[in-house]
Amino acid sequence: MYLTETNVLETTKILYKYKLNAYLNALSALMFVQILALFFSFLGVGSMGFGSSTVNLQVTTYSGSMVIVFSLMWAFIISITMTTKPYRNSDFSFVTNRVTSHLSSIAFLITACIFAGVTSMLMGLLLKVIMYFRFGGEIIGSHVGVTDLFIGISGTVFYLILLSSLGYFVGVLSQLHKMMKFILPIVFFGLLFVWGPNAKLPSEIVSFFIHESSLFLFILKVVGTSLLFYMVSILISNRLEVRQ
Amino acid sequence: MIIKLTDSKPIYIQIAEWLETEILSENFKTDEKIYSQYQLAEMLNINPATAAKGLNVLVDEKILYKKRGLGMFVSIDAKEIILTKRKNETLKNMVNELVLEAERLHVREDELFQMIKTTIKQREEDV
Amino acid sequence: MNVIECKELSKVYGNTNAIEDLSFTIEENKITGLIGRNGAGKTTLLKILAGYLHKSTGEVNVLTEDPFNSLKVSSNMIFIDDQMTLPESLTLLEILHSAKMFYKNWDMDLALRLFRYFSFHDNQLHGSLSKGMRSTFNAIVGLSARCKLTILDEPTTGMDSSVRKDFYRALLKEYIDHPRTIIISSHLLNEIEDLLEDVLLIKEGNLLLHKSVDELKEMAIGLKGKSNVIKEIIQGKEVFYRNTVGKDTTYVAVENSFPNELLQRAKENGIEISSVPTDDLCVYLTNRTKGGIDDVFNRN
Repeated sequence: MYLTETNVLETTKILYKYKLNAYLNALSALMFVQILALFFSFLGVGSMGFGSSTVNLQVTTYSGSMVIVFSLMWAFIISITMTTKPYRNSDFSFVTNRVTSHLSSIAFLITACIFAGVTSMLMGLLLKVIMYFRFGGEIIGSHVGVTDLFIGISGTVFYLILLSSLGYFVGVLSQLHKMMKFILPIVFFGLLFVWGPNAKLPSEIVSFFIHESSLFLFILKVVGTSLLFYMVSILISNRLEVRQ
Repeated sequence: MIIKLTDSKPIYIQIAEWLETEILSENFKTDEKIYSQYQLAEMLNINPATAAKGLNVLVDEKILYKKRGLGMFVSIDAKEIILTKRKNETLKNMVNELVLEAERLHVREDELFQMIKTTIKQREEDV
Repeated sequence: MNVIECKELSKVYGNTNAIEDLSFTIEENKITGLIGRNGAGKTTLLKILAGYLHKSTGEVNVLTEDPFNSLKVSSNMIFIDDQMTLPESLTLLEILHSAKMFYKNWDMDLALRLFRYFSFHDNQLHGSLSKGMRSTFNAIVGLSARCKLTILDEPTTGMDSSVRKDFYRALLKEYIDHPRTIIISSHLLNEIEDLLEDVLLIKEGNLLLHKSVDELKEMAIGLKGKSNVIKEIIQGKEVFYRNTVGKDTTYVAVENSFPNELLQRAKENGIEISSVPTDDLCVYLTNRTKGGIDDVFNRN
């Protein structure tokens, strides 16, 4: 047989297509998680009531943010899953090297995050519609314009990507050595313990992203951080053996 | 199968011997094209390199000749060469064995001759 | 052209050597059998060639490149064994179509004809196949990929004997029509020896021999006869196997380097001469001890 030629880009593209086909079930898991979140949302995220002899006021807050929180967890976990042995080995059943295997996984995860971002925003809308039919009347703060929707979606997508890159990094770390599966949780909970409930660093890290008021700067921060996580993941696992 | 692949002789020698027999029995005539290495490999379920080795044994003994790009053909003297070879080698070896075995069983010379003669006579009668 | 070149290749796990100082080359378009007992290092060697594992020391070149992380090697090589991981969600037919995307020489027509012949169904899942069926399916992928280098690690695990026969025949026909470099590993030689051109025999990670099958067949000779006569004949020769039967009869498998006259004379002295089946020879050569299982029971 004759020798065939290929390159990183071409192989990555083929692997990406292959993963879209093969790991479609990750998206069904997402849909399941989001619908579950929607059900939880029906219960309301907060409620308060006033009462006097003449007026009785009961306020229940409903929010679509539950769907987003669940989706974020999904993005984190699915990214860890993508780094595990069965997924890595299945790339190596066909044509790949370590770089193309990572690049195609990351491309797949970003695609999944975009999909998840769009659906979680739509789920939020769906929640409002259902609430409208359930209670009728005027819903306060329910008006959503196209721009708002767009900002909502892109914000969500970038949060998902951030979580996904973190999950990917954690996943790759735990693949480096058998012991990592024990060390990582110990380090994580150990730090929580050492820092205590009022520690500054964790909340500073969170507010670094959350309190960014400019969408552009927020995106820049997220893209930078995710890129860092993904790249470090590729670099530290480029000598990893497969199918041992 | 014509060739017993379980035989402990190297396969290429078995192939060479089988082709010789085919030539002797005139399944292949002078200047006729013989099987290619790939045909042999396919027929006998063996590696083509082994088949080629078998053919080359016959080329070396001038039983076959090569035509570049066309294949291998039975040479004019093929039968002659095979017959002489078999007489000189195979038959001689067999006679050797025969004599040895006779010695071991204390069969006398004239007894042995008698046995051979009987066998020949029987064959003639059968034919 | 050499498709594979190894020079003093070693692989160390902890403090055991899985393979040690292997040096050999495999030329283009040959079928080579990698023979060795369980745990001899066959799979480790093949996985280094496939670029899955690191070498520890030495040199390894596949298609003139270090296979580890080489796209050139990966795209021109296919590694088939019964551990092949494939996505759980894809049907067998989808897997064939995926494989087609990856391998430029892929022959879908052949793949489908074999697929139907071995009575697979389009919608079956890889995970639900029996061991033998999984091996058969993987083998179909391996043959249809038509890769320049095809590595088959114990490809017939679990196959029944008629499927094995069919597979070997399919392999040979494919090879005749589309020659390529093939390595088949097995702990048994007899089933595949007719298919092979060369044999690579390894024992405890070391290379014992790399010869053509024909050379292997002529490498040893079996002698049986009176013990003292045998002892005299085999002086200075390498003995691969020795077994004493009855009161005074010895059988030896010994290196085949006797002049014809000597054998003739031995025959006249009542020595039986036979050839040594390659399969037996491999067993003798790869035995961990010279004696064999009987030594375990010999307490004195």
